[in-house]
Amino acid sequence: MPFSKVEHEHDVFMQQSRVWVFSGAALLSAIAGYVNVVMLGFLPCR
Amino acid sequence: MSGAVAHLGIDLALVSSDDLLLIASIVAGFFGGALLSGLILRDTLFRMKRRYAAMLLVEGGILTATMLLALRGVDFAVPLAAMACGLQNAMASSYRGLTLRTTHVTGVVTDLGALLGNRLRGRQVKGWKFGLLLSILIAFFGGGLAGAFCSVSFRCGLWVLRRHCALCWGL
Repeated sequence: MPFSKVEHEHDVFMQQSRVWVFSGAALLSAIAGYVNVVMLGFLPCR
Repeated sequence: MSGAVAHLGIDLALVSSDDLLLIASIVAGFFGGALLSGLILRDTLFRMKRRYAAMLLVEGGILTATMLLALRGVDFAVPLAAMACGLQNAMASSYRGLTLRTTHVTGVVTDLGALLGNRLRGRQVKGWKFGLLLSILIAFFGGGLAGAFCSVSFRCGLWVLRRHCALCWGL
């Protein structure tokens, strides 16, 4: 698929579902950040 | 991963076998998670919602196991947490062909810098790309901050992982 078509598809998709994608990605990132920090805290107290 | 792989070199040079095994297990765990994601999704394009639901269920299960093991002080919790991160990173990376890396802050900051550079050179850059990358960066920071507060101030960091497992299952 040509790059311009992929870009267009992404634009259309983001227009339709921007809120869902933004909040989903942010939620997953927050979980990842939390897990990273908590597990870093776990290591020194082994 | 960059930090873990770099740490492997230090451990090898210092012949620190305990740390070497643990750090190697983190790399292996992350790789295993990404591998599992590829096996479950089979494709880099979004096709079936059910597959993503299955992935989130698996992630919730891995995080629950991580929490239970970490509360007992078992080291295996560490590679399991890495596995959950690898699974999640690979899952989000394949969402509709969008390159969303929810645990890869280096990549997010790189993309933000490159996009801003393009914008400064006068090229048109989509606003949602900035917004999406910024929201990932801010959310990762916020999650880390919450983790630090829960661990240091309230000493309940591992218990709060339950909420994250529930969140994955709920999604």
